[in-house]
Parts: sequence; structure tokens; C-alpha cells
Amino acid sequence: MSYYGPTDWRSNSDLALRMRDIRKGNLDLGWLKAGTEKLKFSQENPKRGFTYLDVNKGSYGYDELAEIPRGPRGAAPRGAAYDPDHQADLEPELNRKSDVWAYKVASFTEEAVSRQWDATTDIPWNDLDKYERSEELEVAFAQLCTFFTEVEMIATDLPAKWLWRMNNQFHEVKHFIATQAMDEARHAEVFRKRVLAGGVGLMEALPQAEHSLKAILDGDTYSDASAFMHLLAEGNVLTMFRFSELISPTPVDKRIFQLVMQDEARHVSYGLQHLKWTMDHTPERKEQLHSALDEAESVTINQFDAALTECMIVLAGKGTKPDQIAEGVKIVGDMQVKQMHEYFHRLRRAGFEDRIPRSKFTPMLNDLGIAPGFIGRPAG
Amino acid sequence: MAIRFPSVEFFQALQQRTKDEKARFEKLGYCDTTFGVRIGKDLFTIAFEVYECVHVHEGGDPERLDFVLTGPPAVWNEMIAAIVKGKGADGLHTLNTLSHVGDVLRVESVDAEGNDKFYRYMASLQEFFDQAQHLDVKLS
Amino acid sequence: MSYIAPKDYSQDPEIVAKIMRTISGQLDLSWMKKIGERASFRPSQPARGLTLDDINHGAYSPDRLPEVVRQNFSMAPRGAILPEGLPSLGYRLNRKSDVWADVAPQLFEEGKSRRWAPAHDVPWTALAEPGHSEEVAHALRQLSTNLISIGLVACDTAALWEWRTNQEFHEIKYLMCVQMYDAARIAEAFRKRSLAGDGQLGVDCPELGDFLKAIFASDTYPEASASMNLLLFSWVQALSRHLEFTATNAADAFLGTRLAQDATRFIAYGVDHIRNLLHARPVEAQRLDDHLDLCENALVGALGAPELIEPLLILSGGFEPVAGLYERTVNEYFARCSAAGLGDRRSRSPFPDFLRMLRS
Repeated sequence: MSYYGPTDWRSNSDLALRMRDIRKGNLDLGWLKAGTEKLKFSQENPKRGFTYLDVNKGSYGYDELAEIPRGPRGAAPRGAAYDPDHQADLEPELNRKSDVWAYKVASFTEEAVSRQWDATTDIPWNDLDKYERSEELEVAFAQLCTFFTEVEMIATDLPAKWLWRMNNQFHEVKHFIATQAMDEARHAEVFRKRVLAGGVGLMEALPQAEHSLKAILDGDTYSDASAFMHLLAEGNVLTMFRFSELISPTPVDKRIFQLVMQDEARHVSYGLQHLKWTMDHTPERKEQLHSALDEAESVTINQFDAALTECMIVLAGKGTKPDQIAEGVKIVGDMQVKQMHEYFHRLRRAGFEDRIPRSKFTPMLNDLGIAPGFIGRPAG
Repeated sequence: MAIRFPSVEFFQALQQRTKDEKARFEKLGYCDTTFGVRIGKDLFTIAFEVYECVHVHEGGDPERLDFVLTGPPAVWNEMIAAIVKGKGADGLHTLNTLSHVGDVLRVESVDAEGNDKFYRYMASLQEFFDQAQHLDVKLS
Repeated sequence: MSYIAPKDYSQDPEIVAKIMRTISGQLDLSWMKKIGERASFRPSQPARGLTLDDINHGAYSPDRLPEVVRQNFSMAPRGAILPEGLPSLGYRLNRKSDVWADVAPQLFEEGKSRRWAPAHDVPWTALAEPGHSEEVAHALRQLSTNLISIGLVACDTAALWEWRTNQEFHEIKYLMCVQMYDAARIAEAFRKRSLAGDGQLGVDCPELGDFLKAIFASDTYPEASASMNLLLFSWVQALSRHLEFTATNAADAFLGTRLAQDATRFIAYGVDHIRNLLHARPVEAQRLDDHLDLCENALVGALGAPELIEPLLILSGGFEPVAGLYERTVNEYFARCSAAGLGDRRSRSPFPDFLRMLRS
């Protein structure tokens, strides 16, 4: 794997001559004649600042970026002059725009940078002491937070796994992925802090969830993994965040969920827009995505884990008495139906509606006798 | 009433400014360093914790400080005068500029990591000195 | 490569049975008794908030981590109860000394706290009257182009190792995320700097590309850390200080200061990481020294490349400031290597010869 360049500079006479010339004031200055495009760039909206959208012009922009930007395979920034015969090849594996691109990705990136928050200081941790919390509910909440702190890092590991394989010509996507990594580290952090501030402690890890995480991480392609992670898994988690805000034991917890859900929604949006881009530009990938989602949905079904579902039921019903459980079951059941509904809705918006009748969720929901009203229209 | 520079009262006034301009210093982020300012032979110890300056005193042990910014009185006077006049340091009088080349201001430290704290928190330290623009300063 | 589950769960009657039991209100609830060590942490300094140091106590502390992680290769969080059946997620960095630095939690918190956003925090309007010549403007665009490349590859390098790091070292993973974020921001900020106003990018520097690839292609994480955090970012920090020093407008001064602060966090982690590694495994010093010998050699090529040194000369107004910058940076870098436990690298490094070449 190691690489150290074609030249041993310790014994390079050209370098010595060049330094001598420089001392004499004889500069090469070839770089001054870069020949790159000179354009005017300014802030379209000063309130928004100087954004990627403002520099989306000409050879520097992403609109004109080819599906396969032939040539650059190293660290040369898009639009810079470079010598294809003298660039250190970083050997990117993802070199097609459709491998990684998403509509509006530049906007998502700017939004991510603008909306960063800090789990250390933006949550009023000391306020937890103001609210009475029963042991039962705090234990249930600790289980929920244990789950979240366990799974959130997949959305750091998975993007990180693919980021360095992407051609640097797609830097807006790579930047978005870096912001997602930061967001998810923050989510894992905030849920870990919450569970260790609540008087309970971390609970048991969840093997079924872990198998889902492994399936996400081991995806054959970035698009397969993105469909599973961004669209399905994070879509489900987004619904859970919304639900959790509703059932939060304290205002401190509501604040946590308000903040994490804004990040999660952005990630889901990227996933949807990446899938849409794929559907629009490389529809031949549909079957592969179907195959990937077959497995993804199957593994997701196995996530119906006693601990996770039950802790949400206890929180929703506010206790473990029979009437509380009954209420909790109803609320959680509605949430899980909503997860499917929203997943199908995203598939439609991405132009992947024919996934719906093929989805593993559809027959399962039929078997459970859940109201069919939400189920997608048959293809064609 | 005018505050003499250099003096511990001057640095105490700057310390108060970090509280008065809380939002400004918070936006810059954590600043956790105890450093020295040596003006000629006079050494002042300044401690920052979290976002604000928490302590100032005259003297101190350089070996126990993250770094010491050292310079002759004339240089410090010129810097403060520029800050007061320009409502903040101009390009020729920032801490980085004055310590970057030559021996105008020197960054002295016992170890490399202490030295690097100067750069980690530079924006906050610059803002600290820039607050002199709000004081009535009498240069020695 | 893809993970195929042992069953098609959509066809699994056990799953349906489980769901039906739950829907009918027959809850198991045994999970409620599976609680790890009780904790009720609060901020030790209210103004600072609840930091990682505040929650790193007892069973949750990284001090309890063994040098070799043998029990957990999943995403189960440190301190959680580990049931049977947790899969391996294939982590490759499972030794504490491979990644650990005691300063990492603090640097993570500081990285978040001292964040800035290029789009609206840089006073871009100051570039309307930049205060420098067209020649200097070209030089700054070329240097910015070089910094974009550095940001891109630093982000790639952090990402390359983050996903391979065991979850037990979550503070390090978090810090790597900060590094990815900070590096991407370098690329963003300097792309915008190069294009602001009548903008254009410069020329890719092949020698810089070779040096960056040497870091990216490091065989091990400690090698990547030493070459990126210690070596590369020593030079990035120096360059950023020089940018602030030569700045003739508020935008460039801002960029120089912020880049310096961000770069120094990389350095701080690198020094502590390598020091910790060599304390635990002194035998690794030879390998690291060999790698640094070769990376420094590659960097010499970049430092002497027209695309890097010439814009610096123009920006600085002559040869002396640049020679001085190089000399100072080499000394600071060697001091950091020494602090990291690598001893005095002067006798084996190609830098002294390069500096002599520069002067003689």
C-alpha cells in the first residue's frame, strides 16, 4: 500500500539548481500561466454568505461536471490545471457522478455547516434535576438511548468507508459526508451523555440491530448502502426521533430530539436525492437496488426486538401497568406503521415506486392485518 | 480614569471585558490556557478557562505556563496604541504578525505543546487584547 | 462483500409470532433488569457543559480499556452489557496504543466549540479591496489551490481509518470525525478564497500530490497519524501563520488565524498519540522513523516545487522571509517529534540538507 513518490529528493540535482535560481531571483512562474478559467464570483445572498452555490459556475461548478470526469484521479481540485501524466493517483473507486451525486447536495452541505450544534453546551444538562422521573420510565429511556448511541455511529462508519474511495472531483458530496460523520458522532455522543446523566446507565446492546448495522456496512456499492442506510434505516430513525420527542420524559429530552431530528432529516433527504439521481441517470441499476433492499428490509424486520419495541411502549404508555401498556402498544404500533408509510413515500418521491409492491414490508403488514390504506399503488 | 499599561489593573480590565463581551468570546469557543505576558522585565500571568479570563496576577513561574509572550515595552506599547487607535489590531500589530518573524515578540515555552496552545486559541487571545479599544489606556 | 443474513426474516414465522405477542400487550420486560453501572454525571464546570471527561468515569472510563480489545468488535457502546450474538463489524484497529491519546476527548470538545463556517464567518466583502497587487493575488490563489488539495486528502485519510477503528475507542472516532470535518472545511474555505471576486484556481502541484499520497497510502494508522498530524500539519500551521502575517485584509487574516487553530489541533493529537504509542510499544519507533524519513523526503520535493515556493516568495516579498519560515518550521517540527518520543530526528531527516541547499 505504501507510496513515496517517484523521486528521491535528497540526491536530486534539479532541486539544487532550482534553489540556486530562486536565490538569484530567477523564478519559473509557470503556475502564473495556469490557463484556468477566470470568472466573477460573488454572494448571491449576503445573509447566506459565500456558498457552494455561488461558486457553481463554469469549469468550477458541479452542474457542468461530467458523468465521468476523465483524467483527474488525485488531489487536484476541480477546475485546477493539472498534468494527467504527473498526478499521484489516489486510486478512487467511485468515478462516476451517478455513483455518489444527489440533487441539491451543495445546499445540504451548506445547511449542515450552518446548523451545527454542540451536545456539550446546547443541552441544558443541569435542568434534568428539575424534573421528577420515575425509575421505570428512566430505565425505559435509558434502553432507548442505549439503542441510539449504539446505532448512530453506523452513519459515521458507512460514509467514512466510502468517502476516501470517491474521486475528489465530487468534493461537495465528500464534504456532505464529512458533515454527516460529524452529525452522527454528535448523535452518538448526545445519547451516551443522556444515558449516563439519567441515573441509570447503559443497558444491553441489541444483536438484531447490530446485524442490520453489519448489513449496512457491508453493502456492495455506495448506492446500495446509501439506500439501506439513508433511506430505510435513517428514515426509520427519523420517525423514531419524532416519536421520541413526543414521548420524552422531560423538556431536556425534547430538546435533544428536536436537534437530532433536524440532522437526521437532512441525511434522509440526501439519500432520497441520491436515489432519485440514480433513478434518473442510471435506471439500469434498479434491479441491483431491488436486490439490496430485499436484504435490507429483511434484516430490518428482524430488528423487531423485544427490548427496543418494549421500551418505546413503556415510554409511550408512561408505565408498565396493563392499561399503560395497551396505550403504549397503540402509539408504538402507529409509529411503526408510519415508518413504513414514510419509507414508501420516499421511494415514490425518488422515482422508485415499483419497489413498493416488491417490498418485504408489504406482505408482512398484510399478514398482521394492518390497515392497507397506506400501502403503495401497484406498479403500472 | 485612565489605566496605565502595563499594569495588573490593565489586564484585570481586559479580564472584565471577557465577561462583558460574553457572547463574543463564547462564539470563539473554549479557551483553556494559562500564559504569560512579559513586557520588558515585568511578567503577568493570565489564565483563561472555558470562555473567559478567570485570573490575572503579576509575576508567575514561566516553567508552569503554557507559553510566555515576550517583548520589549516599546513593541507592546506600539501594539496597544494601534489597537486603541484602530479599534482592534491592524495587520501589522496582531499577536501572530509580531511573533512570526524576527524577535519582535517571542513565544517562549518549556514544551512544544504549550507553544502550540498559542495557536489553538489565537483568535480568543487576539480578541482579548483587542478589547483594549474599550479602555482609557495610558501608555508608560 | 455484502452481508447476507442467516434467514429471510420476512418469511420467518417466529418474527410474526413475536410481533403478535407484543401487539397483544404480552411484554417480556426482562431487559429492564439489565442495567450496566449506574451513572448520573453532571457538568463539572457548568459553563463548559457536559463534556466527555465528565462522563468518562467508572465502567465508562477509557482508563478501563485494555491494551488489546478482545471482547467487542461490534458497535455496542463501551460500558453496555454485551449479550451473545453480537456480530463483528470487522474493525482493524483494536489496540489502544494504535489510536489513543489522552488529549483526544478535550480536542474533540474544543474542535466543536471553536467551529467556524466559511460561508458566513469569513468577512469575504473585505476582498473587494484586498490591499495587495495582482501578482500577490495570483500567489494567494495558487497557495489556496495547494491548500484545497491538502484539505481533500487530509479528509480522505481521516475517513480511511475512522471506519476501521474499534467502537471501544469512540473518543478517537469522534475526533477523527472532527478531523474529517475540519479538513473538508479547509478545502471549502480555500476553494472559495481562490474563486472569490475575479477568481480562478491555480495549478495542481505534482510534488505536493506525491507527498499527500505518501500520507494517504500509509500502511498503518500510526504511520498515517505521524505523517499527517505531526508532519503535514506542522507545515499547514506554519503556512497559516504566514498567511495571517502577510494578510492585507480582514478575510485573509481571518482565514490564516482559523486555519492555524484547526491545524494545531491535528498536531496536538498527533504528538500525544505517538507519545502514547511509543510508551506502550517502543519497538514501533523504528517503523515510524523510517516512514517519516520517506515522507519528509517527499515533502522536500513539494517545498521546493515552483507551485509552492514561488507563490510564497511573491507573497512574502522575497527570499529571506521564506527561508526563515522553512527554517523555523523545521525546528518546530523536530521539537514536536521529540515531544512525541521520537527523539532527535535531525541526523536522519532530509530537512537539514534541504535547508543547507536553500542557503548555500
